[in-house]
Formats: sequence, structure tokens, C-alpha cells
Amino acid sequence: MLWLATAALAVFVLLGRLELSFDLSAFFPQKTTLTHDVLIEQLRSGPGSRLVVIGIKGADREQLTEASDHLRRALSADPAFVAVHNGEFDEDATEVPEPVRSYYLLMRDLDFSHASLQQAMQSRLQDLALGGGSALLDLIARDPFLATLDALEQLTPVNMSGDMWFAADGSAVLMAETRAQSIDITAQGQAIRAVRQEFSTLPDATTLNLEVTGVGAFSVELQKTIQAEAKKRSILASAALLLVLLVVFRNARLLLLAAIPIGFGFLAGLTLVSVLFDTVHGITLAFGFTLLGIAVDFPLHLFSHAEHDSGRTAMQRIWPTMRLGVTSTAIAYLALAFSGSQGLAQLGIFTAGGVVVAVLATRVWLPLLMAENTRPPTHADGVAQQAELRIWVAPVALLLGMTVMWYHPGSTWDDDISSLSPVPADRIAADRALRSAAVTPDMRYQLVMHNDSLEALLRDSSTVDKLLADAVEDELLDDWQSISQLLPSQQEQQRRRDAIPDADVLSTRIQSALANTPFRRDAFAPFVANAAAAKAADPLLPADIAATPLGSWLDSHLIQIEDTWVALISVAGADVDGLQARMQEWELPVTLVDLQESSVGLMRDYRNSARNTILVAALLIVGLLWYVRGSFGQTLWVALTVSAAIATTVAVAVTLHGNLTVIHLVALLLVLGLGLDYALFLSRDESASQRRATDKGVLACAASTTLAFGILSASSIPLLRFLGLTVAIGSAASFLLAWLGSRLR
Amino acid sequence: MRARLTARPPAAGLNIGSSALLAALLLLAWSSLLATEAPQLSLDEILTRTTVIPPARVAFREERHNPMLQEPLVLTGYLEYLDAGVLRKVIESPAPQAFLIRADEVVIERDGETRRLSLSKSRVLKTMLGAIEAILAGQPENLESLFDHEISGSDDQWSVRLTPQSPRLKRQLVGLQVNGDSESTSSIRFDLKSGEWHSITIMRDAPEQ
Repeated sequence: MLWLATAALAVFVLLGRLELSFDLSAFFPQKTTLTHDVLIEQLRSGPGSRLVVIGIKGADREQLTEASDHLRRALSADPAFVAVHNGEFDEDATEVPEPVRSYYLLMRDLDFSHASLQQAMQSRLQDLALGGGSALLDLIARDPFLATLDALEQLTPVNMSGDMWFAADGSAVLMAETRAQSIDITAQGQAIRAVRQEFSTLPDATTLNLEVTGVGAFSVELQKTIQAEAKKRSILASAALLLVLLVVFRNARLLLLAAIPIGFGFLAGLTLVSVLFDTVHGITLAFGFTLLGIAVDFPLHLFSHAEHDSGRTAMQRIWPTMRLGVTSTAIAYLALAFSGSQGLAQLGIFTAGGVVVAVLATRVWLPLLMAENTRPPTHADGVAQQAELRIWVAPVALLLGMTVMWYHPGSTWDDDISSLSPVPADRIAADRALRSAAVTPDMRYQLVMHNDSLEALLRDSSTVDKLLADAVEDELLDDWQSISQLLPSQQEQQRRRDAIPDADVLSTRIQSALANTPFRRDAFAPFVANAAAAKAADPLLPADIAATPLGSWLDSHLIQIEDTWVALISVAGADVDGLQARMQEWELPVTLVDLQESSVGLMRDYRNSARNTILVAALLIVGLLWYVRGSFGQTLWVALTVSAAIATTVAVAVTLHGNLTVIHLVALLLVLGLGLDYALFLSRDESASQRRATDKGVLACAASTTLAFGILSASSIPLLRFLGLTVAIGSAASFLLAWLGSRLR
Repeated sequence: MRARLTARPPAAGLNIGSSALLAALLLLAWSSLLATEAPQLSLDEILTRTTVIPPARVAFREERHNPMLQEPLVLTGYLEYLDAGVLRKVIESPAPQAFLIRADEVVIERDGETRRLSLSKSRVLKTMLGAIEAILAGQPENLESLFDHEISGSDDQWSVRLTPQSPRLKRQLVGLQVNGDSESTSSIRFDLKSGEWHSITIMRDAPEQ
């Protein structure tokens, strides 16, 4: 009853708390350097992550141009999107975007003297000799100095040419920035549906092809894929397990009983994760499938040993071995909780919790539910014999595995952050092809500054602006964008506010400047009104910009990590060495960061951290084995056998996959757990009949695990494919090495 | 390297006004320079007979009307067709400045400073320059791919009304009307969606090259 009540409580908790997430960045490390934090923040919620990348092809350039223009205008009117670009400057735009529209007079140093105003009026007349249109007239009336254009130009990357974007394959390319973050799958799904809906209204929609990529689009696809994969693989794996159980035990009742520990384990793991974390990642849920492979081992060992005995007696006999195996496995899995990644921590806790509950369910429930055997017990007539452990088998395999790794060309580890992505390679390639057509800011090199005080940071940034202007003159870089160009410090805003004359003074100067020009006397009334408004305006703050069209620009150049404000100054066309040398003269707390190199370093640190945690876990396991078994020889044999299985698995994995990723590391942890289980059972001192039961049980475990993970290795999700293949190989290797390396005397 | 400008004509300024102006002035230059025979009310025939061979030059007087002005802005100067794809508009009064259009950019000379602006910043201007090229090179098929045209009047007093076909151009440009007589083009009027209009008159007494 207690178990059922606990299960009911777990279901109740899940109904109230379970919230799935598909935020890929959950698998990135946490608690790293400031640079790495910046990188992760940009990957997680930076403007780049909110871009829906749209490709249209299937017609000639002229038709695609019209289609791109139509789609841009239609989506621009959709509230789901902050901005939609296709490379062209928006000549239809009638309004300057906020906050530049309201605060342009506080963004630049302006001279409001009579002479300066007169010069500005004459220059605008000369502009009207070339240009026209309501947008220009509105602009001149509000801003005879054209400070607005100066501000906007500085915020625009230098390499924006104004040409419509076309990919190498001829596709017209659009970038639509969603209002919602990429982790908001529902909103992303709605945005993508809006794109498809608008596309369907194009005149040539039936002959055109639409491709939609981007982080949000991939998350939506991944959600569907994971759901479909989970369903499909679960059915297939269940069928495979049923087949193994039927072949080995020929008893339908046992099939049902085997499901109990798995069910409880799954429920417990999921409840634990949903209680400990705000959301449960989809990959964690998919990984629950892996639990199926290992949790089924416990009933299989029991069934095998209970063939000629009662379930209760069999459990008493194998419990010490099973308990040791589960404890060791749980230690290994819990190591993931300290790997520095929320996604992997969820996996570790899910699996460790699930395994412990599954083995307890096996221990408590299954002996009670198993029918008593009618066959006479056989263990009584056998005498426990010492297991003969062939110590040479494992070292030979270990040596072979290490030889393969030694001769493996290139690095064993892949530190490319994109290798963690579960998005299929062809979709990533399509995304890159479309993005390469779009001229976007070069974000690789950034100057990073940070300060707990936003005001101090903005003042430093303003100083760096002046120094960078000199560096541009000296051809150390082409261009830069910094937060102080959009958001001056409050001190600077106040100074500019003070420089604006009172409305009546300004009006008098303007009237004087308009003498002998064809301008209407009230042509610049909007300018006078704007100047009065700017003089009385509250200081511009980040929160005022967040909801404007330049909100994403703000997010690209100013982020807050806990209590620290970080300014990111993007630089284009930088002579990196020259700029770094110049920066040393500045004596300012500013660093030039190569985000590409930083991402590799991030993964390297991450992997090293995970490896160290796992090594500590491995030492703990060896200590536990020695303590429980009390035999150095047995402990050494188990340790060598498991190490050899892992080395063999790594050798095969690097041969098949090229490099190892953090996902392989996770899979190897599972192999460690399986290897321990098999080695511990096969190194038991037992009678010949018990040994036959052990062989049968371990074989059933290995066969079911290899089969289940073999099914996983056929998944369309690369992450699960890597996991499946590695564990399938590891399971088979663990069994073979443990079986070949042991027999009874 | 990026040229940062201290005082620049706005990017928004390089839209329909400039493009229409340039197109019209060059149309005018071509017509005036070649002093065509009276048209047979056929665009093909007009263009076939009036291909311009650069270099060539024509003087103009332009009036620009917009809501900011209490009286029209009057410009005088001359237009040059320097080479295939290279055009120049020189304003002599009220304030001297010049616009050189070549390849994909406009080079602006004003107050001793030179500034460059990409033509890609204005699809209208780019399209109009394509039209000018079609007119100067005598390529009616290129012009007809961009504009619908309507010819009216007689050989002594004719008009060609050009209306953009592209919905994108239509959003900014209502159309332009080229007027001429038995000798040459006499004036052009541009109508913008904003309600602005510009009128250019050819100065027939101006020196020609």
C-alpha cells in the first residue's frame, strides 16, 4: 500500500509540476568564466537565437525578389516578430525606430547656435535638391542636424550593403526576429506557422519552396522529433525486450512483472527531476528510455536465479551482488549531477533515482508476486565454488583498445559546441547556407567590459568609443558598435540635455536661420517640440529600450549576468594583434574576446570537468568494491574488466564516429554501470547450477540492453544515435569480457 | 574602411526624388541632345531613333514642390552623360553641388567634400537608373519591363506617361511624364506618392557638348 500511495503521490506531483523544455542550451555548462557566461547567454537568448531564417526558392530572381518583399512586409506587420529583414533597407519605413526617434538629441553632441542652425538649414535645402519623399521631409522637419541618421548609421554594421539576400543556391533569404525567446516553443511554433501562412498567400506559393531554419525552428522540429522518436523507439524496444524475455524465460507472467520495477523507476526518476528542476528537458525524458535497458536487468537476474527456487530465496542470495552493482552504478550516474550542465545533471539524477527505485521495487515486490516454483530446488545439492578469474583477458582487450585509440588520427575529443546539438547535420547545413547569404554583424571578435555599476560601465564604454574612433583612423579596425552609442551614460545625457536651449530661444534662432530660404516659417516646428521634450525627458534606461525595435540590438551589446553588467562591443575588420597592442595602452578594463576560440575552450573545460568528476566517482566505486568484497584480486579483476570494456567501446566509437563528445562520455558512464553489474555477478562464488542461472541472467541482461540500445542507435536524433551505439557496443563488450574472464573452478 | 561623414545627405534622401530626377534629367538630356524628329507615337520608334552616344551635356531648370517649402526650390545647372552607366548632375544655383552616378554608387560633391552612397540603399533609384540606361542605349524592351507607358498627342506636341509596374515602385512613385515637341523633349514632371512633384525644363539655349 505504501508503494501504491507513493506512486499516486508521484503522479500527483507530476501532474502539477511537470513542464517540458526543449532549450538546447540546458546541455551547456553552468558556472564558468565571465566570457563563457557571455557566450552561453548569447546562445541561449541572444538575438541570434531568436532569428527565424527563411529561404524561398523555385523561381527566377525577379519572382523571388517580389516574394521576399511581400513576405517581409507581411511578417513585419505580425506582432510575433520584432523585425524582419531581407537585406534591403526599408524605404517604406515612415518612422524612425524608438528610442532613437525620441532620444536622438541626447545621443549626439549638437551645437544649437544660430550659425550652426543656419548651416544645417542650408545643407537640408541641398539635400532636397536630390532627395524627396515623406520620410525624408518628416526627418528634416524633426531633425535639421540629421543626428537621427548619424545615430542609426553607427548602430548599423558597416557591411550592410542594402542588397537583397540570396543564398548560393539562389534562395531569397529573410531573417525574422521573434519577440519570444527561442526556448518558448509554443510562441516559436506560432511564429513559424505565421511564416508558413503568409508564404501560402504568395501568388506563386504552389511553385515556390519554403525552408525555415534557426534555433527556434529547430526546437519546434526537435519537439516533434523527440515525441515521435520516443513513441517509436519505446514500442520497438518494448517489443525487443518482450522477445528476449519470452525466449529466455518462456513465461508471459514474468513479462508483466518485469515491467513493475521499470515503471516505478521511470516514475521516480521523472518525479525527482521535476521536483528538483523548474522544467524537465525533452532529452532527459528521451533518456528515460535508457533506464529501460538497465532497470530490466534486476528482474532478469531474479527470474534467472528463481527458476529452481522461490523468488524470495533467490533474491536473498543475489541481493548483496545486486545491491553492490546498483550502488556503484548510482555513484557513477550521480557524478553527472556535478558535471556542470543542467541537462546532464537531470540525466544523472533521473537515472540514479530511477535505478535505485527500480532495484528496490524488484527487491520488495517481485519475490512476493512471483509464483512459487514447482520444480525442486537445485541450489542445495550444489556447493559454492570459488570463481576462477582469468586476469589476462581484460589487459589484452585494454591494450588492444588503447592501441586503436593511439593510432586514431587527430584528437579523440570533439570540442565543437555544435556537436552537442541534436539537430540533424543536413538541417544545420541548410541553416548555415541561408545565413551565409545574410550580411550580419561579425560577432566573432568582441570587446568585453563589465562593471557592477551600469553608469560606470557606460562612461567607460563612451571613453572606449573615442579610442576606437582613433583606432579606425589608424586602420586597426573598420567599424564597431557599442552600447554607449545607443545608451549614453546618465551623466552624458544630462550634459546634452543642458545644452538644449529653451523653446522660445530655439524658435527665435530658427526663425533667424530661415531668413532668405524657401522653407515655410513653421517647417521646423516639430524640431522645436522635440527639443523641448528631450530637455524635459527622463533619463533613457535599458528598460526603455527593451520593448522597442532596438531591443535586440540592446541585448546584443548589453547583458546582465547576476549583479554584473557586461558591455559587448562588436568590432568588424579588426587587425586583432594590432588592436590588442593598442588596447594595452588604454589602461581600461576591456578585453578582446574571440568567441569562436572561447566556445572551444568552454567545451574543453566542460569535458575536463566531467572527466575529473567521473574519475573521482570511479575511485569511489573501486573503494566500495574492495570494502564490500574484501578481496584485492576480485576488485582488480572487476576494475580491469570494466576498464577494458570501456576502452574497447571507446576504440569502436572513435573508429565509427570520428571523435568523442560529451554525449559519448554519458554513454560510457552507462557502460560503466552495465560492466560493473555483469562483472560483479560473474565473479560471484557460487555452485555450478547457480552459475548457470547467473550466466543466463547476465546473458539476458546483455542481450536485452544491447538490443534496446541497438534500437536507439537507429534514432534520427544524432545525440540518441551516439548514445545508443556506444551503449550497445559497451554492453556487448562488457558481457563478453566478463564472461570470457571468469569461470568456476 | 568606412567613411564617417560629418554632414551627409540622408540615406532616405536617395529615394524616389533623386531617382526620378536623375531619370528624368537624363531622358531629357538624351532627347534634347539628339533633337529627334517628331515621334510617331511609338516608344519603340522613339527610342530606336534617339540613342545617345556619350559624352553629352544639357542644361536644365528644375522646380521642386513639397509641403516644407512656401515657394518652390528652383535649381539650375546641367546634366552630363559621360559614358555608358556614368551620369552626372551638376547644380550651379542656388548652391553648387554635383552628383556622379556610376556602377552601384552615387558620389556627392558638396562644399569641397566628397561622399559616397550605395545605390543599393534605394531600389527605386537603382531601377530608375536601369531605365535610364535602357533609354540612353535605345533598349525599349528593358524600359517596358519596368514601366507601363502611354503615348499621347501629336508629332508636334507629344507626351509619354511612364507608370511603374512593380508594386514596390508604385508605393513611392506615381509616375513620370515626358513632354516634347517636334524638335526635342521640352519638360518632364515627376509625381510622388507623398504628393510632392518636380518639374524640369530643358534650357534649349544652353551650350551643348
